[in-house]
Amino acid sequence: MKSRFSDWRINTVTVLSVVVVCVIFLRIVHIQIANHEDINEDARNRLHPRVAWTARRGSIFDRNGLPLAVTNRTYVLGVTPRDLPDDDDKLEVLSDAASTTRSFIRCLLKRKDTYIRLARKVSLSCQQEKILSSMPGVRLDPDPERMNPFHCMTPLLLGSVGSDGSGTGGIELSFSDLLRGTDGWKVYSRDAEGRLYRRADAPGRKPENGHDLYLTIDSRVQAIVDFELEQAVSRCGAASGAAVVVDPWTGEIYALAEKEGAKAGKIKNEAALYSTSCIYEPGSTFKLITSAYLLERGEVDAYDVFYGEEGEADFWFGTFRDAHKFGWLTFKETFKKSSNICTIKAVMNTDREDFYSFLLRFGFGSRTGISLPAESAGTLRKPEDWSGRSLPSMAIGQEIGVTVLQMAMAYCAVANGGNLMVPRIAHEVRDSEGELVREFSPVSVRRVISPGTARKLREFCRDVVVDGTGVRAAVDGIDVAGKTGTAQVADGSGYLQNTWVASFAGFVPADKPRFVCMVVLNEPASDWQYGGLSSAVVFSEIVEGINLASDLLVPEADWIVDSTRLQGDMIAVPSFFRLRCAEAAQLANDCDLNIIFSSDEGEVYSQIPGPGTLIKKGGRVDLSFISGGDRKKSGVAVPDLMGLSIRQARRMLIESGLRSRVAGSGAVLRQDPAPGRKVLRGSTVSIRCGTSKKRECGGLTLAGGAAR
Amino acid sequence: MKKKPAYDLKLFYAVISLVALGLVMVFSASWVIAREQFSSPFFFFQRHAIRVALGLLCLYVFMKIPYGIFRRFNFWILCGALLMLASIFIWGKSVRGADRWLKVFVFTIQPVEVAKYSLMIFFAVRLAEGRKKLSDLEKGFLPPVGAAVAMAVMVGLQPNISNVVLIIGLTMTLLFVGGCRFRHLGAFAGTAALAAALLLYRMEYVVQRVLVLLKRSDDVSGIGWQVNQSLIAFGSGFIFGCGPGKGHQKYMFLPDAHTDFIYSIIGEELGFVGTAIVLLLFALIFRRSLRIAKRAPNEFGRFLALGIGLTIFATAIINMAMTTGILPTAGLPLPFVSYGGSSLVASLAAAGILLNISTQARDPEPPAGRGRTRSMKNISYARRSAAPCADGGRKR
Repeated sequence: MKSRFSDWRINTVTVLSVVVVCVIFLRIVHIQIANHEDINEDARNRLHPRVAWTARRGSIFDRNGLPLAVTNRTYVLGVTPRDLPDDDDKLEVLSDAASTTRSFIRCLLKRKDTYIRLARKVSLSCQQEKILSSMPGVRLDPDPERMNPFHCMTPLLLGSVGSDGSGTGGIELSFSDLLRGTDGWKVYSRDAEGRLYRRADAPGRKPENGHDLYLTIDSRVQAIVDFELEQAVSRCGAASGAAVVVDPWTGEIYALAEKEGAKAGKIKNEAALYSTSCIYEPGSTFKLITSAYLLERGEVDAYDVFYGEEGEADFWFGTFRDAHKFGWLTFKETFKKSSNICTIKAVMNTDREDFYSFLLRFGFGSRTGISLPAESAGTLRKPEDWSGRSLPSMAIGQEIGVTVLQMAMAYCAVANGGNLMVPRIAHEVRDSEGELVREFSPVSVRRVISPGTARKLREFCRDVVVDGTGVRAAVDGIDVAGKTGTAQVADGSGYLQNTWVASFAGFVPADKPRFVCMVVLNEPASDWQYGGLSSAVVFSEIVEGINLASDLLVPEADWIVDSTRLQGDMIAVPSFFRLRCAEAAQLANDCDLNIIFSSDEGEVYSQIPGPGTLIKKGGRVDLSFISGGDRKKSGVAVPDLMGLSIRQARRMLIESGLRSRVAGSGAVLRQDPAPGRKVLRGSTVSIRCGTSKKRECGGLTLAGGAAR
Repeated sequence: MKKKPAYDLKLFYAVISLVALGLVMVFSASWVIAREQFSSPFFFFQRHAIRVALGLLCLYVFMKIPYGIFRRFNFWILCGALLMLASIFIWGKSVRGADRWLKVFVFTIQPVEVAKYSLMIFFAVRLAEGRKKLSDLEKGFLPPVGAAVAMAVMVGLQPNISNVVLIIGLTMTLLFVGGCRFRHLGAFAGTAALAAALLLYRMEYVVQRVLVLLKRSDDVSGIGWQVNQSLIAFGSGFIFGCGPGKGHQKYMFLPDAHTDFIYSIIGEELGFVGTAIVLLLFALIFRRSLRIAKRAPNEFGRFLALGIGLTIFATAIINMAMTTGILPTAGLPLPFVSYGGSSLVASLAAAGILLNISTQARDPEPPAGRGRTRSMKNISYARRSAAPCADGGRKR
C-alpha cells in the first residue's frame, strides 16, 4: 500500500510547524534576552516600590523649653474587609485601637467597600502597632498629628499643620521651612501576600528631621496674660481683646494673647491674628507719638500751657471735644489728662510733611517685620490726601489705622530710649540633636527719637499712672508708666455712638523698662468704655501677675544667675521641665536640692521656683506633674492655698490655670474645692480670707513679688 | 517482527521529562496560592502528583492496548465524548463564567480534553478510508466535518473559544493532510471564518482580549494585567532564571500561574534555558509523532499518530504563544506540565497510544541491543527517508 505520507501536504504541515516553533523561539529570545533590562526594571519597580519616608516635623518650644507644639505619631486605621478574618480576638484588638465596639466594626464590615476607615489620629502602643501591622486586612497609614500639649498659646499665633505636613498659618507657616525637614525615601519589597515590608539592607535615604524652634514666648507670662485677658473680656463684656508683652530692648515678644468674648462683635476674625493683621484707630494712646514729635522737634516744651476751652472747641477745621472740661493745662498735664483740644492746639500749626515722615519713621504705615504671615501695614494716608481735619485728628489717634503690634513697638521705642526695634517671635533654632542652628538677634530699625525726649516721655507716662487717666494701672511697689486710650470705632461713614476700643499701653518699671505691655479691648460694654477703667486694670493685673510669677521684673544682677558664678552655698535652680519623676529626683540630687512632688506620674510642667532662680543649697523646689492622659483634658489639681496671702494664693492659682474668687482679706482660711481635687483648667476656686491665724509658708520666698 | 516491542524511547523520555518538570514547577508556582486558599502549600502539588501517577498508569495501559481497538469502537468513542460534552449543560460545574467541568464520582473532569482525542480517533478512521472517498463531499468530507462542527459548537457554547479554534484548526489541518479537495476545504474555512466574525460580536471578552493583545501597554491593570505579568515573569528570568522556587510572579501577581501560565513561571525561574528546552521537547514530541506516523503499519495508525501529535503540539504552541503575548489570552493548558487532571491524564494516555503505534512500526527496527539507545544512524535514516518525500511528492 502506498503511503500518502510522502505527500507534499504533510511536508507543508511540517514546514509550518518548524516556522511556528521558530516564531515562539524568537519571541522568547526577544522578551527574555533582548528586552530583559526594560522588563526587569518594570518588575523591580512593582516589587520594590520606592516610598516616601516622611521627616518628623520639628517641635515648637517656648523660651524655657516648654513644648508648645509637638508632632505625635498617629495613624489612620482602616481595614480591607475582603482580607479581614472574622475573628473575635482580632476584632477585639481592632476595636480597642479604634476605641469603638466590636459590634460597630461588624456593622461597618457589612458594607461592600474595598476599604473602610475605622478611625483617624489613632495613637498606638508598640504592642498594638506590632499586632495590627501584621494582621491581614488591616491598614495603618501614618497620619502625624500636631499637638499643643499645654494649650497655653493663642491658636492663631501658633498656627496649625495641614494634612500634608506643611504649616497652614501663624508660626507653623512662617517657619515651615525650618520645621519641616527634608523627606527621604525607602525601598520596600512585597511579601507573599502582596504586603509591603522593608528589608534591612534595602536602599533608602533617611529623612532629615525638622529643626526645633524656640520662641521668645515665655509660657508663664503667656499664661498670666491669657488668664487676665480672658477674665477682662468677660468682665467688660467686650467682643474681643488682645494683649502683647514685649521686651523693649530686644523686641522679643514674651506673650501675645487674644480672646474672643461672648458678644459677637463687629471686629471678629477667625483666620487672622488680630494683633498683627487687624487695624484699629488707636485713640489717645497715639498721643505719645504726637508728643514725641512735638518734643523732638522742639515745637513745644513740657511746661508750655494751652487753654482747654472748657471741653469743646470750634476750630476752622471742625469741632473737637474733651471727656472732661479743662481750663489751662501745661503740655505735660495735657498728656496726663489726655486733653484732645490742647493736643490739637499744640500740633495744629506744624508741617504736615514733617509730621507724616515722623510717623513713617515710627513704623506706622509699614510692617513691623515680625515673622508672621498676613501682617498688616496699617493705614497711613499721604499728606496730599489729607483734609484740613486730618492732621489734628491723627494727632489724637483718629484717621489712622494701626495694628496692636505697631503701637506696642512704638511704646518700646520710647521705653528703650528711642530705638525702634523689630518685634521677634523666634528666639533660636536647634536641630533634632539639640545643636544650635540659628540664633535670632535683636534688630534695631532706626533711632526715632533722642534719649532725652524718650526720658521726658517716660516721665509723662508715669504721671498718667500716678495721677492721670491711668491711675488704675498702678501696681503696689512697682513704678508703672503708660497711656490710656479710648477710641470710637468708625464704620466708614462716621463714628459709631456706643462702640469703643479701650486700650492701655505701658511699660514697667518706668525708669528702665523691662517690658512693654499693650492691652486692647474691643467694644467693651458702655460702663467699661474708657481705657483708664478697663484696659488699665487688665494691665495692672498682668504686671502684678508677671511680678509674682516670673523673674522678668527682678533686677538682673541679683536674680538671673549664671551657673558659673555661684556664690557660696547658693545654687541656681535648674529647669525640671518635661522631666519624669525619677529623672527629676536624679537631677535634684545632683544639685543638692530637695524636691516636692505633686504626684509621681507624668512629666514636670511647672516648678517653683523657676529655672535660674538662686536659692540656698538644700532648698525646696515644688514640682507639678502632668501625665500624658491629662494633657488633653487639662485637669489640674487644686493647690493647697491655706494660710497663704491673697497674692500668693492668686499666683498659685494662675500658675495652675485656675481662676480665683476672693472674699475677705488677709490669709486664706478656706478654699473650695479642697486642695488636691482635680478640676478642669480654667475653673474657679473660691477663697475665703481672714486674719485669724497666720501660717508661715516655708522656704517659698522666691520671686520678688512675695517679698514686696 | 515478533521481537520485544521497541517503544519510541525518545518520545517516552521527552514526555517523562515534561511531566517531571511539571511536577517541580507546579509545586513552585502553586504553593503560594495553595497556602493562601487552602492553608497548605502542598494542596495543588499533592493533587497534581496523584494525577501524574494516574496519568502514567494510563500511559502504560494505552501503551499495551493494541491501537487497532480504537478503530473498531471509534464511532462509540466519539458518541461518548459528545455525550459527555452535552451532559455538561445539565450537570456542569461553572468556573469563572464557563461551564467546562463535569463531576464524575469524585473526579472533576474537563470532557473537552478527552473529546479532542476521540475526535482524532474518529478522523483517523475516516481519513484512512482513502483519498477517493474523502473527495466525495457527502460520504467522505462531511462526516468528519460534521463531527468536528458538532463538537466545536458544544465546546463553543460552554464557552471555550480557544478549544473551538483548536478543534477547527486541527480538523482543517488533518483534512488537508488527508487529501481532501481544496474546494471543500476552502468552503469550510470560509464558513468557519464567517461564523467566527459573527461570534466576535457576541462575545465581548474575546474582542477585548484581542484588543489587549494589539495595544497591551494601554491597560496594565485590567485585562492586560495577566499578559503583562506574564511578560514580566519572562523578562526577569533572563538566561538562567532566578532559580526554582525563587520567582516573584507567583506571589499573587500572575493569576493562573500553576495552570495556563506555568510556562511564564518556567521562564522566570529557569530562564531562557528552561523555556527553550520545553519548546524543543514539544518540537521533539511532534517530530517523533511524525516519524511514528510515517512508520505506522496502516493508514489508520498514520493518521492517528499524526492527529495525536498535532493535538499535543498545537495545544502547547498556542499556550506558549499566549503566555508570551503573541496570541490573546486563551484557556489552553501546557500539555504534560500544567496543573489540570483531565489535560494531563488525557495527554499521557494519548502519548501511550503514540508509543503503542511506535511498537508496531512497519520498518524493521535495529537490533534490540542498539535499539535501546537510539544511535545517530537511525536519526539520519529517518531524515533520509523524509528527504525524497519532499522532492518526489505528488503534485496535484
